Amino acid sequence: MAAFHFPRWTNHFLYLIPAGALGGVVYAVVLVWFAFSPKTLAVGYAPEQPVPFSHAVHAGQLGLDCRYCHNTVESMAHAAVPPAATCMNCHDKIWTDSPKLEPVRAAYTAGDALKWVRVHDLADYAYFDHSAHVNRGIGCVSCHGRIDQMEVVTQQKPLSMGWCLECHRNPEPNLRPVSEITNMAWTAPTTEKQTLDLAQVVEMAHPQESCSTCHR
Amino acid sequence: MSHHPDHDHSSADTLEVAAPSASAARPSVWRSLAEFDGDAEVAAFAKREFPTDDFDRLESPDRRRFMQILGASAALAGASSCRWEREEIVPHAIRPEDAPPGQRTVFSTVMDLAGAARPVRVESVDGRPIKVEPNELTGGGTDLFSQAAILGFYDPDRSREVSRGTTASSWSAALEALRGAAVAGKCAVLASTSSSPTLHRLAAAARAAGVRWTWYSPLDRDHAIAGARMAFGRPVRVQYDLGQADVVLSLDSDFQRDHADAVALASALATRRMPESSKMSRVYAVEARFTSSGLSSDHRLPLRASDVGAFVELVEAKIAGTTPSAAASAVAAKGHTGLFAEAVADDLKAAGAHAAIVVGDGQPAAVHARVHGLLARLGAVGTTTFHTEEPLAEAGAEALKGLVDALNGGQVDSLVILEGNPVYDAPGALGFGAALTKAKTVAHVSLYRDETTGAALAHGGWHLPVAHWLEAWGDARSFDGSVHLAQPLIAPLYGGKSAIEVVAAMLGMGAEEATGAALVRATFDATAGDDTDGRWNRALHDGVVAGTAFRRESLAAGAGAAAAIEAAAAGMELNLHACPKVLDGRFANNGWLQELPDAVTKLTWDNALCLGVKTAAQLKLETGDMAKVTVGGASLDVVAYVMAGHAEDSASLALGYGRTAAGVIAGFKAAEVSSAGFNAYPLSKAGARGTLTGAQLAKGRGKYKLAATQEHHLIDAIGMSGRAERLPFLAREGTLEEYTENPEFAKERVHLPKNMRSLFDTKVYDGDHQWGMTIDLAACNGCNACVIACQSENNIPIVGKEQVSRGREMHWMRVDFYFQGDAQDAETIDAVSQPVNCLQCENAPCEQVCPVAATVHSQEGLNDMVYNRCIGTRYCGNNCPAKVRRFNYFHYTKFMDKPGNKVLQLAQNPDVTVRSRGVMEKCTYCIQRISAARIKARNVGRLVQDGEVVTSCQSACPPNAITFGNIKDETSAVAKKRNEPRAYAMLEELNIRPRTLYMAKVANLNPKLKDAMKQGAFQAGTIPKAHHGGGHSDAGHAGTQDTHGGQPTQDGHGAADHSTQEGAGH
Repeated sequence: MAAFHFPRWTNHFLYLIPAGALGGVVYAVVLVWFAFSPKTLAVGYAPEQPVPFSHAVHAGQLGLDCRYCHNTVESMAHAAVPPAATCMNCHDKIWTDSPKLEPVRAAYTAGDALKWVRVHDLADYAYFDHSAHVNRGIGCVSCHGRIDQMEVVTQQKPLSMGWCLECHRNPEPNLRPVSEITNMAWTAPTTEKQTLDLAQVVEMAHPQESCSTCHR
Repeated sequence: MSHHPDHDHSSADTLEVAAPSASAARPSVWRSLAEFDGDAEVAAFAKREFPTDDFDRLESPDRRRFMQILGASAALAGASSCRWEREEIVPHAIRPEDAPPGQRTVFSTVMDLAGAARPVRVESVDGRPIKVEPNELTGGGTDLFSQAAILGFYDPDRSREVSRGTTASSWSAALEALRGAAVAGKCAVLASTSSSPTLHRLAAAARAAGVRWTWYSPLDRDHAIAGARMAFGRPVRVQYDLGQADVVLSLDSDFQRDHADAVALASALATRRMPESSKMSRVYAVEARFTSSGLSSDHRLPLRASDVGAFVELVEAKIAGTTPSAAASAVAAKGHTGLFAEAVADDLKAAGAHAAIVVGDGQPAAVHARVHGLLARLGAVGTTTFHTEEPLAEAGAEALKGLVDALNGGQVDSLVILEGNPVYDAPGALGFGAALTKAKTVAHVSLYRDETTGAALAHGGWHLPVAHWLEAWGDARSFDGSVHLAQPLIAPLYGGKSAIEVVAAMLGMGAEEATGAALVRATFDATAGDDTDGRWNRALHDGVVAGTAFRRESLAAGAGAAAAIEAAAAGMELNLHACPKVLDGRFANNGWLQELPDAVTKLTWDNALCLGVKTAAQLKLETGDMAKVTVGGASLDVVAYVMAGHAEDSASLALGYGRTAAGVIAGFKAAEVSSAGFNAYPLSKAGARGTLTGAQLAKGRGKYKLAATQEHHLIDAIGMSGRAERLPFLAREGTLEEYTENPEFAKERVHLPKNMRSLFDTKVYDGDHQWGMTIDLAACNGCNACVIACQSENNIPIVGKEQVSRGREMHWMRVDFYFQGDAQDAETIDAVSQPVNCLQCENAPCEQVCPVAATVHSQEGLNDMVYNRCIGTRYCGNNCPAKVRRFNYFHYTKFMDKPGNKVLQLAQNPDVTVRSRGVMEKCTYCIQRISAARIKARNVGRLVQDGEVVTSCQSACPPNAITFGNIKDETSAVAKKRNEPRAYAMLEELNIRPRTLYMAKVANLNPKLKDAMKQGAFQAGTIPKAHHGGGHSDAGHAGTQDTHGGQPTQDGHGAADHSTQEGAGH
């Protein structure tokens, strides 16, 4: 039996090989660049929480300051998620029968933890410090977006290293007076004092770009 | 005397063939005997970082398997890269006050170490203790045992439940049984020696209730106490103030490491060892094995431990102007012993009240007694030496013997063993293991299910897991008597109870008063009085009860001080000593301590029989050969280790090894985990520690694989050929004479080209802080506390013996040990130890070769290492001149993921990345501490102040050898240190511009000895020539310009001069 030979017309496919290879490269680049980028994967992440807590109601309509619940944000690396006891400061007086609050009451009574799902999740090898940012003029809104308008907390910024570095290299557009840190709607100085405060914040920001600033 | 030229010749002849280079002559400074002998294997270590790995010959998976793995990896990558794991945030339901997540809280507490407290501060994060720090109120520095306690606390091998015989039981049943035993009578308690006032109070109560109480630990100072009894008629504790001592004589003592007061002694000694701070003291060491005393000494005499008594006689005779005994005179004739004794005697006499003599705990009582008399004669009592009461006078092997006799005599029905491990560590001659079975009931209260637990359970007895000191209330007294309080940092992990709680239950105390807190408080109230001024809270906060130190007395020695010293038997002696790493074996299952290279031998995971070079040659023993040692009817097969500088006709063996029921680290027979090292206890006689004469030593069968790091990470700037020349310039040492003449002598040891330019762009360091460090070699005693402190702070894994033998140990900080002198003659040996961590070169060779910029400089001058960027090429490690980079060949931390080992994850510092397989890692001056301080300072708009950042190695260092801070701030401590003339940059000639500077070691030589008994390379004048320094004439030395190393007065140094003047001058 004679050996099989590809017919001559199949030679035309040879021209397709470089095209295919090129296409493959473009495909891979597009895939990695866009599909795997934090913008695609992380932005918009809004997991379901054990309690349907609405920041829009609490921080937005009621105007609670962020620091009432996240009270370690100015002094610690972690902006602590509040214990159930903080919720119960108000909710043992209002909405005491709400079924939505049942898990909070149960946790408080039993002394068990409520297990919230982390939305803004940095890599474990990145050591972010909230106090270093809020004390030096970076508002909550810069990284977390308009939390005061969110029914469900959603990640709005990519929180990627490139995104961090953009601000570390040029922090000024994101700086604000320390007094306005939790003001979600702040745009520009309105009083002379704010202008002075802003100037001071710009002076002391000192963002570092060294690797060891975040990686240890 | 001038031994060196001869041996240089002969060795050059023999080695010429093998390596016809300039360095073929035997080096004057060397890391190991193998290097001294020009062993090819050492050269291999210098040439290639990991010579045991032959990567070219690794078996490769075949092509098809490779494609399968590749395909699978790609598929998995696609599936897993979408978003990382869903993480939960778990806040408290009700957060305790002052406990925000991630906050570091520091508590004062105390570890009791065989009757001497180690007061410490312990940092706790989110409720788990993670780091031990010194308590500045009680003195700086910690020892490595307290540093390693964190790993011991989270050890997965710790006992977790109460047992009786082969079945599990409960605390209530066990305590009821113990109470029953105490009531029934004929009950004995054998407690591990403790300084706890509460336990002593309960012991007295137990005795009153008819319980026979015995204290024992292998670390008991039986001989010292017996010596004091001879001299003063009562047990007395000897305290030293070495800060007052102009002349210190250490007799067979490793007092900076295994003395009960080691930390305080080391820091006090160091205050007088730096030439600029105050009048420098002079230290003499007379010892068999090389110890930290020998390292810190200016003159060292290698002498059999059993001849030390004769040495004392010689000194005494010279001071008193009498004639020594014939036996002592015979010892004087050995080597330079007579000369040395005379020089020491003259110096001690001249120092008078400011003389100090520290005698090792292994020396017989008569030697201690004679030294008491000598100190009284010198008038040193009341200045350098004090006497206080001795609360542990009844502890010791003698007391244990009494208990064994009682057991054998059927006088004990129930035996309660409180901590300790006597079945393993009682002197072999006592036969404790057999005696134990004479009791009807045996209970063992301990941290581990160890050898004693095994014996108790096999006898149908009880085992009760004791609470670790980090999880229990307690108290302890330091050597000076100060009372310290221990407070629990965490609830007992496995429901253990402390020894005081168990004894209180035995005495039938109610549940209320038998809690640790109530017991300690009751002791406090009984001694400190009422609490109207809040002194309880004060004491708890400070960690020390003010004003509780023993009253210092100055006793006159009685006639007993003239006790006759037994003449030493000729022949071989065996010294059994506490291991400076695992002590008496109690820390054997601590992986950090097992893997720690010993200060002198650099052995890890083993002990070995250390021998002098000539003795070993006579017996045809080499390092790694098995030897058989027989003494008094007991014998042991043990590996030999040839130690340069060890006295001849003498062998030393560390206790604490050869455990058979310790755990997965040190050995566990039942689980087929082989023992680390060899058990020396069966050889011991009257006391565990001490010298046994009349030992027989013979070559054994076969070899034993040791894992020593002495030849790892050799600094080889220009390859092995340059090593011999360069070695003397790494750890630089000079004499006080030299320093006085030219304080900058260390800087001038190395010739530096006029203009050193880099091919790379010079980096600009514009940060507000510029970090730098100095390490003072004059203060370092090689205690290794920094190594363990670094390991604890930076989540450094252990890798195991096999990996260590391949040079893969992970320590970021190591203590290099350089011998100087002629290895063949122990009397010429001197040594320098040099702690080396990353030098943070401003012009870092590692950065230049990293293909992915995983190691780059920070604005503040640190050489950052970015683990998540590292792809593991290891080019950086290869290019690092100081050899401080470590590579994770395996996922060394993976064992912590096993369910049984998860508890170890709690020991990890949350502020430091836990590294995975395939990345390089190294020291970054504790960047996490710098970051924390910088954030805190910048948040209020200021700079970090001096002293605000203390690196882990720095805080742990007892002699305060390490200084760290901002060198940009001229007033900082580190900037001042750097400006001192002694400061020099190691490997400066490579233009690496290191941020870590070393301070040269300075020897304060006795003029009577320095020429007559030359020691070390610098004193012997055998420092090789620098690259182009010609031979200076002696006249040149005397000139004003050529004021550098070497001693102009000594003979025969001309050609061998280490002339290294800055080149332009020549």
